[in-house]
Amino acid sequence: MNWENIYREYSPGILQYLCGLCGTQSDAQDLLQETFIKAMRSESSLREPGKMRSWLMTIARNLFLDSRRKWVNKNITTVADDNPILEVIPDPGHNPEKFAVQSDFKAKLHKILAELSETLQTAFTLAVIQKLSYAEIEEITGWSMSMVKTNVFRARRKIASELSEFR
Amino acid sequence: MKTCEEYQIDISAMLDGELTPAEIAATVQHLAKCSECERVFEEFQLLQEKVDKEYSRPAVPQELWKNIQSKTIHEQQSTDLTGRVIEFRKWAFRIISVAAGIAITFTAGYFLGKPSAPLLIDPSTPIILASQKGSMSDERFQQLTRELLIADQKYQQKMYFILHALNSEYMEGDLDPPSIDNNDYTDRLRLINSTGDGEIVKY
Repeated sequence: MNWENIYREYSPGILQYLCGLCGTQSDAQDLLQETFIKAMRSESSLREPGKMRSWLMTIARNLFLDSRRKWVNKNITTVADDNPILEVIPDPGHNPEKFAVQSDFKAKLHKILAELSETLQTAFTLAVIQKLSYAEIEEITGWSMSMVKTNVFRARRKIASELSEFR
Repeated sequence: MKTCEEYQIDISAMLDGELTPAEIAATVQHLAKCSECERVFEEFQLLQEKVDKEYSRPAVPQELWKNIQSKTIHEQQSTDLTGRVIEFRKWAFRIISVAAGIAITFTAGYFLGKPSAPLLIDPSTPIILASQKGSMSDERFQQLTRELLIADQKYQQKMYFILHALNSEYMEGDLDPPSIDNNDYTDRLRLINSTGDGEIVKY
């Protein structure tokens, strides 16, 4: 396999997807790097070479979910007896690195995306921004076709209503 | 009958090119008579236009690929070394296995194929001619008699091995193959030799 060509073809889309999920360019780049290293190590597990994009996206998504899980586990804090466990969820919106040199629309969209659940983030990024087919999203996420359809609709509705000022 | 929300899900899918022509027709028909769904359609369409305008494929820094390459090349080198060691072990194991297999085959062949008793027919043993040998020449008669005795002995030896193998398989404990009674052959030869009147001894 010519990995340099594969990297050239698919890394921009994956980076865009990861930026939507992570909120910061540097985190997304780290995950992109990990995605390709993992893919190159396990290239024998790719059954159908025609599904390279969804295979790479699946790896990227799983790495993101793993890193988020680790982060949350690390940051669970006991606050008080009546409120034993508080999960501190990362808020990438507070990162100054984020949204640098972006239009108002893009900055606002990123902020809204960062506040959505991973499910809606993924649905919106893959379907609306990356224009992946629902079949590919089904493969990447493991959702059923009707779930893909519903999640994309919900993400669209939520973001459209939040961005009403840009109409 | 579909609800408006169900139609809106279809509107979203229609914008993504995921509806069949029949579904598109039904959705468009509904849009013509439902102002709320038409508003949602326009909202989604506008959002899509803005996203398409704002999002181009991001540039990926070139050094990122260099990092990936250097990491995987480093891993590849250590994997290659480990791989070579594993490959060497694999081949060494194969060669030793083949050598052991050959050695076992030869040893087993030597012991199993070796007759348990020497052939008793000495070519120089005199065989007394029988009167009913017919028109057969003397030499031919003597030769056939020897061959018959040798073949008989070989047949019996093989039968002993087969019986031994069957016994070992079906019965517990190791049974020694019954040994061939050398005296039996010697007696037979003696008997042949002693019938001076030319009778063939039947046994």
